[in-house]
Amino acid sequence: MALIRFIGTLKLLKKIIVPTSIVILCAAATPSYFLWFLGKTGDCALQSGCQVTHDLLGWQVILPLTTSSLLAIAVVAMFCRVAAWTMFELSGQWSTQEIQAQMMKSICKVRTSFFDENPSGRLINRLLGDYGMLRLDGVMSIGDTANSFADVICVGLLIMIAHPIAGLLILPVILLYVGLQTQLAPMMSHARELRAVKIGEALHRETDLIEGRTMFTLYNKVDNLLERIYKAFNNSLNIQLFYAKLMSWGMLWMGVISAIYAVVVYAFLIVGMHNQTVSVTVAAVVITAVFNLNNLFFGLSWDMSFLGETASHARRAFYIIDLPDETEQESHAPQIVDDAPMKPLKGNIRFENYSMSYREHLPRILTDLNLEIPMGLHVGIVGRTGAGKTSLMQALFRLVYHHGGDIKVGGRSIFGLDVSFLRSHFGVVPQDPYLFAGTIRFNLAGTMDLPDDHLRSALDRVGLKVGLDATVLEGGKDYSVGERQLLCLARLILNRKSYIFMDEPTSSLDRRTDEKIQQLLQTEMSDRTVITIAHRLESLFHYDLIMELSEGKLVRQGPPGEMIPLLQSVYGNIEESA
Amino acid sequence: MFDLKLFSSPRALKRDFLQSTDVAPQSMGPELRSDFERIRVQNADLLISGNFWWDFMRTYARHLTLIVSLRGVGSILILASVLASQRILDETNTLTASLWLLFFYGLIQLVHRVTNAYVAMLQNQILVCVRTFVTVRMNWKLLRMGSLSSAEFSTGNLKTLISSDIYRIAEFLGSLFRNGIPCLLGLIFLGPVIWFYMGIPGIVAVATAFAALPLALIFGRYVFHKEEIIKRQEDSLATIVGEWVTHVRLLRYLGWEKLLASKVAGHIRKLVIEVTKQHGVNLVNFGISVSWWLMPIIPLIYTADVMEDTSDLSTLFASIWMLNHITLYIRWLPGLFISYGAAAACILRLNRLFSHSDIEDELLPPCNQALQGAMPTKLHFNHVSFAYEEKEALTDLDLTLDLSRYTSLIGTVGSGKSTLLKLICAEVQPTAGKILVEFDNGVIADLRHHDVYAAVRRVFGYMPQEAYLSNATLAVNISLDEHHSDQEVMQAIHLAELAADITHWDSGIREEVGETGVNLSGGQKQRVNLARALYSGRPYLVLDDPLSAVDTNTESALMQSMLNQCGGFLLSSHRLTELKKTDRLLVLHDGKVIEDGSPTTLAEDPFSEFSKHLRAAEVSHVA
Ligand SMILES: Nc1ncnc2c1ncn2[C@@H]1O[C@H](COP(=O)(O)OP(=O)(O)OP(=O)(O)O)[C@@H](O)[C@H]1O
Ligand SMILES: Nc1ncnc2c1ncn2[C@@H]1O[C@H](COP(=O)(O)OP(=O)(O)OP(=O)(O)O)[C@@H](O)[C@H]1O
Ligand SMILES: [Mg+2]
Ligand SMILES: [Mg+2]
Repeated sequence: MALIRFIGTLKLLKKIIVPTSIVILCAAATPSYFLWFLGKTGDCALQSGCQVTHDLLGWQVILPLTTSSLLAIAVVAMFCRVAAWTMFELSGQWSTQEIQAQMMKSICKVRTSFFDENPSGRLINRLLGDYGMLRLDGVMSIGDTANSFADVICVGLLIMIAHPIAGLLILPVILLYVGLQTQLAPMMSHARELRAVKIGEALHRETDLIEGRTMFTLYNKVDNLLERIYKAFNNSLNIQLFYAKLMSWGMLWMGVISAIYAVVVYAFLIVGMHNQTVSVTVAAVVITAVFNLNNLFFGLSWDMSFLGETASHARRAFYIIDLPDETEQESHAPQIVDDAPMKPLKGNIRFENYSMSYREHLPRILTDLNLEIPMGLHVGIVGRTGAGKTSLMQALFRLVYHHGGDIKVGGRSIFGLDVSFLRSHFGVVPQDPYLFAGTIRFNLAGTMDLPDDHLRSALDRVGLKVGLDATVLEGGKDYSVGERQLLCLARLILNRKSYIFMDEPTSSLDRRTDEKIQQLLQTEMSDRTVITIAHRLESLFHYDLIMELSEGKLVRQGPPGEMIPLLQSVYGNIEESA
Repeated sequence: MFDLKLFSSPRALKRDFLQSTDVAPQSMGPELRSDFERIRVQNADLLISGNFWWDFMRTYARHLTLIVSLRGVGSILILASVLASQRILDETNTLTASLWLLFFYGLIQLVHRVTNAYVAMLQNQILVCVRTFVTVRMNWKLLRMGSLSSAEFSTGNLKTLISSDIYRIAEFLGSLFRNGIPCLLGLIFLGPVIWFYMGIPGIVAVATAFAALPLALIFGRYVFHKEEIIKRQEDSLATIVGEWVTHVRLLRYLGWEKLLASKVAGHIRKLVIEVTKQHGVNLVNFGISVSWWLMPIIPLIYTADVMEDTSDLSTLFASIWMLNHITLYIRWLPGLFISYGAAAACILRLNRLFSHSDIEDELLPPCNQALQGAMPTKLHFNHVSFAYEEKEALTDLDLTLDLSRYTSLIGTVGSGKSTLLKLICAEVQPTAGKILVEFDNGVIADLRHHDVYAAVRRVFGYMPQEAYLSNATLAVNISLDEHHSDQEVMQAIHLAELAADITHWDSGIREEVGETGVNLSGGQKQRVNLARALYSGRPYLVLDDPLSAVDTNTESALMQSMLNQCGGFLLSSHRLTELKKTDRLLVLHDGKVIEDGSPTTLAEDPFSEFSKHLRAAEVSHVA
């Protein structure tokens, strides 16, 4: 099934399927023709001027039975073979890009918790590994199977022409092959699935080593780490070996079938030769053809097993492509429809009896939350760690499972909007200042097309001294954590969103930088709605409103003058001035 | 080695299948297991002794000889069957004699198939071995290299190295066993026979059979070059997709998914273009070689004709047949060169990794002083500088740190605090100057001595600025060990103020934290890392900004735990209040220590940096 669908996606290939199949047939037919021709040459080797006449669509084609004609046929065979493969494989290479694009599209839309449930190793393996196999081996395996099939038919025909009994004997052989395959194929495909899973797990464990090796070496727990890795690795090797055993088993029995076939055919030939009904040349041609047929059968079953692998890769790729859209799985509540879904949002943000959890069956993090963030105000959110502050932000972005209640912006429910449209309203500084591998420019501008001096001035304003084209390693490992946070702030200043959500934006900044940033934010963000999560109360002094969350609920709120002394008693003293 | 059960019925196979797909680790085989063990024991010289192939052949000599000799047997069997069939073709034989011969031919064929199946199985074992061989070595190398942050060995690249490069190498070896060795053996066994039968024409034919190879060699080189470019694209793809799937929330906050998707599409496009070029060459090569088997027959007949060879038809066809057997493998030889091209690119990369210097390489021999049971008490920094490639992070540091005191470190963003802490717990080595370690028995020695280094590494519990979490349970994350004591883990959890958080979780300390700790909040991740340092029971702690993601209340509780639980710590922080509880405060600026003293005295001095920092907060209240 997956295979048929996979073939269906190969658009470019479909366009040139007619010439491709013709060339494949030619490529398969010429070697057989060559043998047949060779047989004829052998027949009249001693007379001069003997020739073969063909009637091709009314044309008389006369080929002298000479070595140069043989050479010509061999060259044609090569040419056809090259052409067949080139057309098949290269067009397939280009066509499979579509599959990758669809996978990426689906990944863009799948629910966020999908990524929590699936280890990254597995996902990367699906998105790149399976795709890569489809691109490289997938199309090839289809082409090879088609080729081998054509080869088998042509050689079969040749045998049929040279010696009809030997030709008819192919039928029971094919039946036996099919019988064998029905036993073997299901096991093979099961083993392949298992193998993919186990390899994924082993790779996933390697991640621990790659990312956490400094921790494990420092604490002298390397043996433990390796033990875990090798356990997973061992499992994957196990299934690999079993798979190999299955292959050998299949190969053996297929070999036995074809050997028996060859012996039977030879018996007929010998008897024929002794009765003078079969000439030596015919016998030689048939023997060579049977020899080739055996190999071709072998090739065919080998290709079929690769085809099986392709099917399993395709199945996994389509699993990704068919993942449901995040909006279908974010709630059981009836879908709300907004009457003007693309009208920009404006107004207060209200949570009304809102409840959420990260996945449907996990405990709720926010429960019956009611709060209102007035437009244009700067609101600080505080709470013990794990209180649900970051969850609040994720709720607003619709990254979580929605159990009930509603979130409204300017009276419009956010659940009626297009998700990416909704998300485009908010500017964010995340709690974990992760930078993407690339350059500073990429991390700063992202989707925006801004002139360099804009970017530079933003960097200046946050006080970061780096070049725009400086490289950034994964996660921003080559910058200090504070520098990464400053970069996130610069990015925030650059994209002028109407709602700003900052999750502990200054947690890794020193006091003086923090203070500068607070002033900068005050001037930059004066006209916008700002929601800041903070642990350091003193950074909220000049805010308009402070809200305290606890266990997923709003406990109290008020202006800083009122709230801060109250909170001080709960959260300990803010820093006394010297 | 011969537990293959090749003749079992499909049903027995199925039963076997169901059993062995359970986790039961049975088929790894004693060779592999001993390889694991051996590498564990004598990893050092295995890694250093350079040549990958040589090393591999030495390790699996037994396997390899077996394969080669079985293959040889196979070739001899082919030879026998060819001779038999040639006799059959010979008209002089009587019918019964021919049929007898045919019977023998059939037997030979059967034996040949069985040998083939065994060889195939053995080859697969070797392929599994090669994967183990490389993976195990890579793991060791990575562990010995310590942390490094070069672009070439970024996480994404290392992952492709493990996941795809190793397969390329195995693929090449597979192709070598499937085609290369049989071809060579076929040539050795069958070539002389053809010569014997056919004389010069036979030789010409064999030579023709190999004529396609030089072309394949040239193509192989091209493939190798392209492979390197392709690798680069694959690496960037893996990096982008890896970042994507691990940081999907960030992408959705920023609305960058489309941007990344188009980046991925761009890389894929480039990749496909390169692969098209590479494969275009491959295909021409393959196309030629697959049809090449027709060629040798022509000169064979032609030369036989010209030389008016008197050899009869049956001899001619026997030779053609033997040629067929050689060309059968020759046709895949170009594929062998090509997969060698790809594998060589991967091995080059692996070798670059293997030739990277180890931490140990930079260490000096033991200092020959009595360090048995001695505890480091002080670190003396002697004109120490540290630079990341070209960026200088610490310059000319002269400083003595008393490990048994509570020292705190503040400084502006990027002033080098984290770098200093990494130097202290010997995560990295200074690029200039040296660090001297003073022990409680009075010995003072350079940290770079092997034994001193080991002694220092044993006493520190380090908490990095960025939380590290592995996809395992909370308890395993804290103890880094499956065989931990729950009680000690619980104690660490209490000390790290995590107790309140875990009460919400159904499985308590057995809760899975998810990959990179996705199921935890920012503050929880940080405290798990702190709990790990506390659990380790190390006398001294090195803590990089442990308090940045917790509320003020938790902050003071944590400070109390840290003060109580260790004999001394070094802590960097941007939270200033709690620092007054420490003994000594260092202020860093631009890689230099600009202030050093007791926090209380510094706070009282209105001109000190520390008090300026403290006042910064006050200014903002007023504003
Ligand atoms: N992806 C997730 N899947 C499941 N549970 C999660 C996930 N993210 C967070 N949680 C849980 O939700 C609770 C609230 O987390 P949240 O990140 O909202 O806390 P927070 O208030 O931001 O805390 P902090 O100040 O430590 O960042 C925590 O108990 C955490 O374990
Ligand atoms: N892996 C790296 N490669 C290159 N440069 C680095 C690397 N790590 C840090 N740096 C640079 O070295 C300098 C010091 O970094 P360090 O991490 O020690 O600062 P820090 O004082 O800890 O800052 P923060 O308060 O932000 O954590 C910074 O300018 C940083 O950009
Ligand atoms: Mg948070
Ligand atoms: Mg730091």
